[in-house]
Amino acid sequence: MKSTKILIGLLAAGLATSLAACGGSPAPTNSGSNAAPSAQSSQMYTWISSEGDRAQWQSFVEGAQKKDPNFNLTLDGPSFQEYWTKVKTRMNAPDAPCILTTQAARAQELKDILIPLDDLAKEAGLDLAQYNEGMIKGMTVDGTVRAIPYDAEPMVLYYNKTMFKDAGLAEPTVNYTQAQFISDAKALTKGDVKGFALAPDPGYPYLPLAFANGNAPVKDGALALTDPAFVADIQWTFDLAAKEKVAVAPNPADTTDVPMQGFQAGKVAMIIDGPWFYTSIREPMKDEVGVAVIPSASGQPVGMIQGSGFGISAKCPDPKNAFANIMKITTPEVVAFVGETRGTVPSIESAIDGWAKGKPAGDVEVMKALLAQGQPLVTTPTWNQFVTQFTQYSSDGTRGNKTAAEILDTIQKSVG
Amino acid sequence: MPKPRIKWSRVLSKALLVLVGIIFFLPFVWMFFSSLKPSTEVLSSGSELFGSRLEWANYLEAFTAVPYGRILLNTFGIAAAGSLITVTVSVLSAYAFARLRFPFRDQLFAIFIATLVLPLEVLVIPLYIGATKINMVDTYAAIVLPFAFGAFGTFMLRQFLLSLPTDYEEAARIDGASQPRLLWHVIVPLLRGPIAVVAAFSFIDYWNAFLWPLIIINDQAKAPLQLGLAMFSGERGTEWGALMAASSIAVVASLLIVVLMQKQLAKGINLGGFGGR
Amino acid sequence: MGQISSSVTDDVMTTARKAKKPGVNERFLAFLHLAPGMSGFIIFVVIPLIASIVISLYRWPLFGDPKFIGVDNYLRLFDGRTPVFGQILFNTALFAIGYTAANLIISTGLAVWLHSLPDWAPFFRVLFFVPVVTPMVANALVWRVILDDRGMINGMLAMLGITGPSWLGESGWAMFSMILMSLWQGVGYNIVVLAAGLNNINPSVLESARIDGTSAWSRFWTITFPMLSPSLFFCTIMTVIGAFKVFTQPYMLTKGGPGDATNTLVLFLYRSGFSYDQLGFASSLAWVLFVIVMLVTALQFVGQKHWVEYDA
Repeated sequence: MKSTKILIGLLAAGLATSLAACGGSPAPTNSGSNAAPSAQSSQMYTWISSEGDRAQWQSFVEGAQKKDPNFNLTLDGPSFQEYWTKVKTRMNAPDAPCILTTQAARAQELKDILIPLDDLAKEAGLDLAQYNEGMIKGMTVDGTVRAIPYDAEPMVLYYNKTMFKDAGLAEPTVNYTQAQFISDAKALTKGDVKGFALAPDPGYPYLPLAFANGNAPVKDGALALTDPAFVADIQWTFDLAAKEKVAVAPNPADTTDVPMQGFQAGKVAMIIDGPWFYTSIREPMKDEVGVAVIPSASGQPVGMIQGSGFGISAKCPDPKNAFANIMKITTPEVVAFVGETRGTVPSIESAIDGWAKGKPAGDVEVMKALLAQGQPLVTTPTWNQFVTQFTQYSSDGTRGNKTAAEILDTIQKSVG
Repeated sequence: MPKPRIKWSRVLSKALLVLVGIIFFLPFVWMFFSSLKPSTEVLSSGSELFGSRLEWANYLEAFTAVPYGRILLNTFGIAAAGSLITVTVSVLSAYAFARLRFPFRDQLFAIFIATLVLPLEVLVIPLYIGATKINMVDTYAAIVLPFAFGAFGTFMLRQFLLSLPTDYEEAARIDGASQPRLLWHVIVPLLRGPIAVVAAFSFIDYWNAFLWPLIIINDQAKAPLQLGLAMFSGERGTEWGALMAASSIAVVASLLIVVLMQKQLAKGINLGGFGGR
Repeated sequence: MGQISSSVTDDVMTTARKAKKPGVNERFLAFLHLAPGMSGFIIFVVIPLIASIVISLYRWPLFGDPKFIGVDNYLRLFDGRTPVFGQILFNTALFAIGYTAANLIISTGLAVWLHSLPDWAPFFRVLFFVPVVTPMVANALVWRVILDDRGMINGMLAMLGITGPSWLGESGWAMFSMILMSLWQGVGYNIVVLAAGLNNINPSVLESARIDGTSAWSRFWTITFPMLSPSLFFCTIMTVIGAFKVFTQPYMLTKGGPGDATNTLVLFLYRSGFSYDQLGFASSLAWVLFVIVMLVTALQFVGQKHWVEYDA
């Protein structure tokens, strides 16, 4: 038995060192030939845990099938929260799908996985200029475009028209100053109802409010959280709960849909959220809900544009065919179709009219204004750490226990 | 024997116990009532017991938003398979350590037992990397196998076996029983109590596994219960009503299992002395 | 077992996969029995254990190639590059000690109480045991809803005229809430174990003490406690080890916040590995955890001489 044990010991040591030496899996041979398209070029990895997610991706396929009934994409993927971790490991495998989705905000984080698409676009004759400029910028990493965007969503202000009317306040539209916002919010805060709502996540609504004044957390590809103008904006947002008391201070584990829930339950008068909720909010609330621009110091805000797109994995054996498939689901028609059925704001200007069908003219105007003056949310590879830590610390800020300067300083030191 | 009088201290004790029990059970009561609120009201209705209406549809939604029925079956299957493997391996190993002699037996056993204090968090990362390299990510085997070889079962069964006389086994040997027959017809029946305990605890461990499935499983259809609950959050927010309904269903399922197993658990713990994990 | 007759040996050997020379080969039999368990043990425990040390010496991203960096991951924890580490260790220790102490006191109290009401005991033991088996995720979710600033608990307190604190939004209360929720989930297990220990105590000893006129309090400390100490020791060890590994509660209830008030070792480990893409660093954290757990367990084993009585 002794010799067996020695053998086992050697085996273990050998396995361990080979694990380390192995490292990543070998790169696929890029034959570049135009042989029959590999199955992987028709497979897409994306976030698909709930029915809502799945329906969204299906509508892309349906939209493309209108032109090409034989078109199909196999969809696969984990839940949205897990996607950013799982995509990295899934793409390691040799049988991984070729196409993957990414948000513009995460393009930096996934830059090693997403291959540059500029040359593929040129070869295929795809004009990248037709897509929203801000979104293309958001999808550009190290000078090359990494994903074709399908939507361009500026954060908007949803407000309860009935509450505004009952309080005798003028409705905001394409012009809304911070001063007016605070005064309105105070007037609307009575009893159980609050004028506004905050979530702990930086996107809801800290970043849109900072963007509105032209301040972004990332400058020249690096985190610049301690920039005084940015800090001032974050402090202003904290004060909405801590000083002005027009919003409830959230808990760190509150999800980003907590403000939305309060709004739909009639407990909150205004929230800042994505336009992708537009259709689902109007269903129960109909004309009670209005859409306006984000409040800013000047009244004319810079929109914060987020969105997602499709890219190609670095391990894809067949990028040409994968790109051909991507082109099929990002035509103006498909993007308009998805916009119409799912409520996402299309990334192509000409398609916005498709999205605008059946929506009040005022709302469409707000959207166009925000898009015209919009900047994309650009991030860094360490963005995840920023979001996680901000989520943890913001509850101290909204309760007045710490200042924005202190919090942002801590995060900048730890992440920047 | 004198007629028993009412001991007021006992009555008070019992009344207090009932109160404690009710308070203890409140979170589950709240879970149930939350599951009947419309999704948007779960978090915003504060301390009100009822929402604006009774949303029984949440229960239907629990099964459509996520393949919940499949998930419940999966979890049961995984837990059953896992505990079966654990018991089998434990019986074999315990027999060897308790009844057989071989070199380094006690040293090997000591090392084996030392791993009882090993946190599995130390193992998850290498297990994960290993699984990705042999492409076993997202498989049932990957959920079940890594944790079926722990020392607890062997420890418990060996303990018990050592305290038993070897008469039955010797009698069986004299009758000419082969080893498998010996194991199956003599050892296993002797160990029935502790085996039930090991099976029960192993089952519960698999039933409630969270960290490892979180890391290794992507496919919704393969997710065990805890991971399935976490999947009610999508890109566009969480379905709170359905989630509360799914949680209530999970609680009821777990309750059933406990009620079914409580005899084994209680008996086995008694038999094993101060058994447990 | 060396004196078994050859006919029995032959029968035993007929089940062996290979033909064997006559003569007891107990070692081979042991090998057969241990093969499944030990091979699983080696594949799934020993090898990963060694591998995790190796991995901790690398910078290992989820996608891409690892890079050898020696002990830098460990240095990083202690040389100031990870300022939050001190807080994390403190939190984890605070939780482990606080939770274990509270758990043992409560579960012992409840176990003794139930022991005094034997007709109701089985029902209540099951009742207290339910949260142990229900999924932690579901438990944490409902507690999130209950502990919300405007949730059930504060609502009930408001009915008594008390303004409840922000259970999850204030640092001190967040840790308290985490311990409270974990207690609710964990005491049932120890109650069952301690109940078995109590059942093994000879009731006549207690009876004669009662007749002698001792108070219930002194009876507990002079008789029950020493006889229960082996079970208590076992519970302490297992509870402390579990407490050091706390993950699901902070993950679902507080996300480590507010600030870093409830950031624990395993939460940080999981995030570092799978959110921040640093598997090597996460492995080094895992080893720190392992070393701490071993030290604490060893300390407890040394300390048991002082309070555990095995032959009471």
